[in-house]
Amino acid sequence: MSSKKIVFLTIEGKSLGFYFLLGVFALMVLAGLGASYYMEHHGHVVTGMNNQIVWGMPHVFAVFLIVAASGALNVASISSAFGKVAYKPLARLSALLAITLLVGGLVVLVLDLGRPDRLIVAMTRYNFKSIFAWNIYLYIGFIGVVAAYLWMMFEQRMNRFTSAVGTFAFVWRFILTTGTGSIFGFIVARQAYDAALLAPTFVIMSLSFGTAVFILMLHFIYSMTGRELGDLLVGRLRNLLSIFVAAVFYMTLIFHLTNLYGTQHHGVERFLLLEGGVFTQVFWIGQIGIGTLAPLALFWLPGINKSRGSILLGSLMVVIGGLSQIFVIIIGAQAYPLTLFPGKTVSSSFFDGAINTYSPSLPEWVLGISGFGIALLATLIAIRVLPFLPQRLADAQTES
Amino acid sequence: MKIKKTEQKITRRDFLRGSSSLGVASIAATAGLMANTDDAHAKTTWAEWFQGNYRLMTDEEKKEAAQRLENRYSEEFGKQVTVDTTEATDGVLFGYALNIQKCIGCRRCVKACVRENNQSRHNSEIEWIRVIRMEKGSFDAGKMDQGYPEDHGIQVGGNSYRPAGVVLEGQHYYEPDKVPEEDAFYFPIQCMQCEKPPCVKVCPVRTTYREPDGIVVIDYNWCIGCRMCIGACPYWARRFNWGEPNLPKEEMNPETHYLGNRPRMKGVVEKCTFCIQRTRKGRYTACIEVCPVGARKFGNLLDPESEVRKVLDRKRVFRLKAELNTYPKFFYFVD
Repeated sequence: MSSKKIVFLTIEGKSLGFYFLLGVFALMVLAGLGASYYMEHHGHVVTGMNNQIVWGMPHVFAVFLIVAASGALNVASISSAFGKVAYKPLARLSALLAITLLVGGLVVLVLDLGRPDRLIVAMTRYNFKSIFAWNIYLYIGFIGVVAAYLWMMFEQRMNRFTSAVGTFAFVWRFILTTGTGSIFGFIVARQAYDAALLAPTFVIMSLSFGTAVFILMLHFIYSMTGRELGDLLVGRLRNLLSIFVAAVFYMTLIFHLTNLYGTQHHGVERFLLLEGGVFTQVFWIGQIGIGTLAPLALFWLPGINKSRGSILLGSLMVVIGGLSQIFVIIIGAQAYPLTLFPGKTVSSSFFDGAINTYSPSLPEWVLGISGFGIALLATLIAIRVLPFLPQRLADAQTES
Repeated sequence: MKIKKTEQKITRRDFLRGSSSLGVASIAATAGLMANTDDAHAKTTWAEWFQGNYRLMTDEEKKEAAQRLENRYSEEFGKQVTVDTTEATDGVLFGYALNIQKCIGCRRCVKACVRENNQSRHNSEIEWIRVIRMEKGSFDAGKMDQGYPEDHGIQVGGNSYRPAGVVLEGQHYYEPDKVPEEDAFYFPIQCMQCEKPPCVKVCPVRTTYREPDGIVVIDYNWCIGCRMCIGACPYWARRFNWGEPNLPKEEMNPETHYLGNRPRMKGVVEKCTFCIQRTRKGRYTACIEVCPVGARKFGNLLDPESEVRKVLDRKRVFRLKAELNTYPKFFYFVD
C-alpha cells in the first residue's frame, strides 16, 4: 500500500445534490436552534424532564455523538498508532468525523443547560474535583489534538510526526471516553450508575458506535460522489465492527450479571430488565435485538455477511442500538427512584419520586437530532473546502 | 456531486486558511446558538451578568452585588427588599436534629419553608422539605405462601408478605383529613448539609460550595443549570427551576440573603439553606418555629450547650445513608 500513491481531493460541491444536502442539514441546525430558543424561553418545563429525570433526550443524543466521535477516530488510530497502512487513506475522514461529531454533541449538551448563556463566564472557574469539568477539558483538548493530527496528515513536511501525534490522539480519546463513562460511573446516588464498569463500557461503546457511523458516512459520501469503494476495505471495517458489537454485549452482560448476583440491586435490575415499561422495551428491542443480535447476524451469517446492504443495515442498527443503550443507561437509571431508606422507595402523585415515566417533548427530540445536523453540515462543508477524501478506494488501493 | 479531476496539493497555508475558516464559522454558529435571551435575562444588568463567583468576591464586590439585586428586586416586587451578605461566624457549625417519633406529618414545615424562602407558589415539585408518609407494615398469615412483595422486586426475606414496621413506598404529597393517621408514620427529609457533599464535588463551576459554618449554598447567578448536583445528591434534596418561578409580589418575603432565599430565576438549582437569612442572625429556621410538636432542633454543633448538641448527647441518633460517608449535619433521633 505504501508504494501506491493516494490522491486526496475535495468534492466539487456544485451539484444539486450537494446543495440539497447542505440545505437539509442547515435546516436541521436551524430547527435545533429554534427548539433551543423555545426551551430557554419557556424553561425546561416544556421538556419531559423533572426533578427525578433531570437529563433527557438531548443528553442521549449528545452523549451518543460524543462517544461516537471518539470511536470515529478508530480508523485513523489503526493507521497511525498501530501502523496498519490499509486504513491510511481513510485517516483524514476519520479524524474529521471525530471533530464534527464531537462538536455536534457538545453544542446539544451546551444548549440543554438551564442557562447556556452563563457558560462562557462560569467556565472561567473550574472545579477540578468535578468529573464534568474534566470532561470539558477532555472534549476541547480532543478537538485541538485531532486538529493537530489532521495538520500532520495534510502537510507533507509534517507527515513524519503523524504516527506520534496519532498515538497521542489515540491515548487522548481513550481517556476522553473513560471520562464520559465516569460521569455516570462516579454518581453514587443512583443505583444503576455507581459502577466502575461504566467507564470501560463507554470506551468499547465508542469503538462500536464510531465505527458504525464511519462506515455509514464513508459509503454515503462515496456513493454520492460516485467514487469507488472496494469491498475489501468495507469488509475489514465490518469485521472490526462485529467484534466491537460483541464486546459491548459482553460488557452489558457482565454489568447486569454482577447486579443480579447480589440482592442489593435486584430492584433496579427487575426494573430495567422486566418491569420498566419503555425502558425495558428499549433495552430488549432496541439495545439487544436491533443493536446487538441483528447486526451480529448480518455481519456473521455466511451468505449475507458479504453484502454491502447487510453491512450498511447492520451499521445503521448499531447506531439505533447505541442510542437505545444510552437511553437506557442515562434515563432508565434516573427513572428508578432513589432508595432513600433501605429497601424502600418514595412515590408521589407528581411521580417525581416514584418509578418515573419519561415522555420527551418535541423540542427535546429536535434539539437532540440537530446534533447530527451540526455534525453532518460541518462534515459536508469540510470535505468541500479541504481534500479529506481519497479519489478512490478500490480494493487494489487498500491491500495491505 | 462530481469530483475534481486533478490532484490537489495542500500547503500549510491552504490548510490553515481552510481550517481557520471552518473554525471561525463554527464559533460564529455556536455563539449564535448560545445567544438565546429572554425577558428575564434582558432585565439582568450587564454588571450582574459579568459579576464574579460570589465565593471569590471581595467584601466590597459582595456588597455591590447585593445592592444591585436589592434595587432590582425592590423594583420588581414593589417593596423594599434587602439582600443580606452576613458571613459565617467563627466557631459556629450549624446542625439539625429531627425527632421522627414526634413528627405528626402535618407538613406545616413544608408550607412555612415555601413562604419564608420565596419558593415558587403552586409548584409542589420545588418544595425544599418533603415529609414522607409511610404505612406501617404487618405480617399476614393468609399471605404466607406469597413470599416476597412484587413491587419493584425488593425482597424482604422470610415468608412475610410485607415487612413489619415499614412499607415499600412512601408518599409525600398526601392529603389526609387529619394527622397523624392511624396506620402511618412520617419521615421529613431536606438538604442534609453534608460535610462531604457529593453535590459540591460534581459541580463543574463551583457555584455550590460549603460555607465555613457548614451550610451548603448556591450562588444562583453563577449556576449554569447542568443539573449534575441533582443527579449526585443521594438525599434527593435539590430542585431545579424548570420554568420561571411564580412568586406573587404580595407574598414575597423581602428579608433575603444572597446565598439563601432571594428570588431565583428559571434554569438554576435551589435547596434548603438552613434559612441562612435567619440563622446567621441568631434566629431559628422557619420550619423549627412552626413545628407544633417540637420535633425539630437546631443549633451550633460546636457549642455543648446548644439544643442540637444536647440531642446528640442524650438521644438515640442516626444519620440517613451513613454508609455513604457524606457526614450529614442533619440528624434523626428518637426519644
